[in-house]
Amino acid sequence: MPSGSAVLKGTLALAVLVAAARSTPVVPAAQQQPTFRSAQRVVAVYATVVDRGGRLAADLTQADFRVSDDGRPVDITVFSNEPQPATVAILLDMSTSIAPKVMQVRESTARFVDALGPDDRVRIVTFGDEIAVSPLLTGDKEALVRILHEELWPGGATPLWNAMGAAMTSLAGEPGRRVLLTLTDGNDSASLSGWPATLGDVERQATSDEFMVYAIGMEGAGLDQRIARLADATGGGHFQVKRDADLAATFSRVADELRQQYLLGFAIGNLDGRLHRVDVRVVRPGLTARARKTYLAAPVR
Amino acid sequence: MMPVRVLLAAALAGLMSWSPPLHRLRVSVQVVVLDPSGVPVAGLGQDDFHVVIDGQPGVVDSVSAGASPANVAVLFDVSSSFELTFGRGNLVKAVDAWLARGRWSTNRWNLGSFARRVMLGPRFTADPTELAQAAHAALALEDADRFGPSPAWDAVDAGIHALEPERGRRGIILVTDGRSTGNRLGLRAVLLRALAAGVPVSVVTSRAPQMFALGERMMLLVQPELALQLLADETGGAFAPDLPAGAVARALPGSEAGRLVAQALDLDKLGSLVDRIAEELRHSYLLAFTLDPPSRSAHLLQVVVRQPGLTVRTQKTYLAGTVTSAASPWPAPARPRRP
Repeated sequence: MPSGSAVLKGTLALAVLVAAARSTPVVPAAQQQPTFRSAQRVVAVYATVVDRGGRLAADLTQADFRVSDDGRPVDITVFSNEPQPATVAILLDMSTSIAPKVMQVRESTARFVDALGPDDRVRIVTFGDEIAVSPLLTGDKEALVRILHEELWPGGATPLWNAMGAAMTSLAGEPGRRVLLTLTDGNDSASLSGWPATLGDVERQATSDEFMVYAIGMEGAGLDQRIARLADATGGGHFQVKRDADLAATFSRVADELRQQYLLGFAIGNLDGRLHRVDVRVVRPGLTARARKTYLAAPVR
Repeated sequence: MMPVRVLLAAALAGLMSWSPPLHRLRVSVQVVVLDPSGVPVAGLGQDDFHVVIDGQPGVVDSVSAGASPANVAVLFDVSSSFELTFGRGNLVKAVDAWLARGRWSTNRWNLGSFARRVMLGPRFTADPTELAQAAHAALALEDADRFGPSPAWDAVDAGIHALEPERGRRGIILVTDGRSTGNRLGLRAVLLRALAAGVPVSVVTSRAPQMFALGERMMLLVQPELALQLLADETGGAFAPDLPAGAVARALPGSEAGRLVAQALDLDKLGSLVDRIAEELRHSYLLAFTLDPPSRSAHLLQVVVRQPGLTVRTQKTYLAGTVTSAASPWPAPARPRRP
């Protein structure tokens, strides 16, 4: 049964990669025997591809991509253009200045929740007076909408880095693609005692633990360029809405991107502990790929 | 509040699992009766009450009257938002003053708190040393806990869990600003839990809306106490929005870092409010009546006292059978601690 066998192999490879997308050593699908060779790891890279008009391109194949590691071309050993499950922390700025917009925040976030796929899971985090990390990490849309309706209380400053650190820590043990989706109308303006994360901590953790950062800036001070750079570096995206009324459409855009990202994987043998540059390109003219720019070639922690 | 009760009945289908009883059901509910000045009324008997179930008159089988110690779980909100509203350190002072006054000694207490964690003491007690220790444990927090969420609904769930093995008069007193976050259970789920367990949830809070500027001429009013009032009203608890108001105008956009426009407040009133509610629980009546094998879970309930001018407070819906929630993090009920 050659064809059936091939399908099974591909499925296994993908399953192993998804389960281990966070710095876990992967035994190649063809090598099912428990013989230990040199530690090998598959680096997972999720790529968003857009055309010149910013529209998502969804019909690419493996042959359309080129990946390089520190400038050296590598073979793509895993490829999928199927929607991949995502574990998403939605961080909602509840600082005082958000108060007039809280209904839009609620409805727009609810729209994002409604667009979740069956295997996606979400945790809602609010930050202002407090950093409230929901204990629920769930795909239960009713539970998530319940939180949006009952637990958004504006007031306080903007402990943005504290909240991002707390959100990443709350997802530390989760496998697969992990996303921080941050909505804010301003810059980090406070640090809450007991929540020590700084910008530097957030940058390090996002890079080493392979989080994908999305950021949406509402009307106001404008999106902090440091979070925008972090989004670029991690393969996420950043959006500055011109009018708060566009917020729902922006959330929908992020949901679409997450659903239409390509999964690319390549094997590395040399776990040298260094940060490597990753470059993902699309050979079809007129298309641009957005993906994380680095990975840490570290042994399993 | 009919829509709420319709909502409750509908919620049973999805949110909670319901085990229907198979036989006639002897039902007991806790009833508080107050005179026009708010003082508990003593000495009422079976003939003084009548009960209306789903609009039909029912028969009161028995009434247990006379003051008896109540088991009271008090849950203090120790999160940052509460402190911002009522002043840091004032809660500790208020609880210390309440304990020192000693009027709590006619009941049994379990003191707890909620912020990033929900804490309750190991048992209900009237021992002053144990109570003081429980209070200090509940109110002493790390900063990471204080600046974490305020899971008021989960705290109520924990209180119900602690009270389930206890018999006689029972109640929860929730002391909070109402900005509930970080909950496993929602308001609806915890309301169902309280109704099914027959535990009245009383609330001590303030009734001052938080105000935010919406442009130059409009303000947004945020009233977290509305959900608290619903919880108290539906479960037969007291709603005491009597904490000092004033710390309600949070900073307007543009002012420095969203700092609270308020001053530290005096929470001296807290102890007397808790004492008053506990006294109501201690004098409450346990009213027993019988339901035929119920074909549905939710029954609208009304208890009436024949004497005019009295206020009657009890749960407004009776849930037949047992209700559990998969989202509840608490283990199976502990063994009964009293015969």
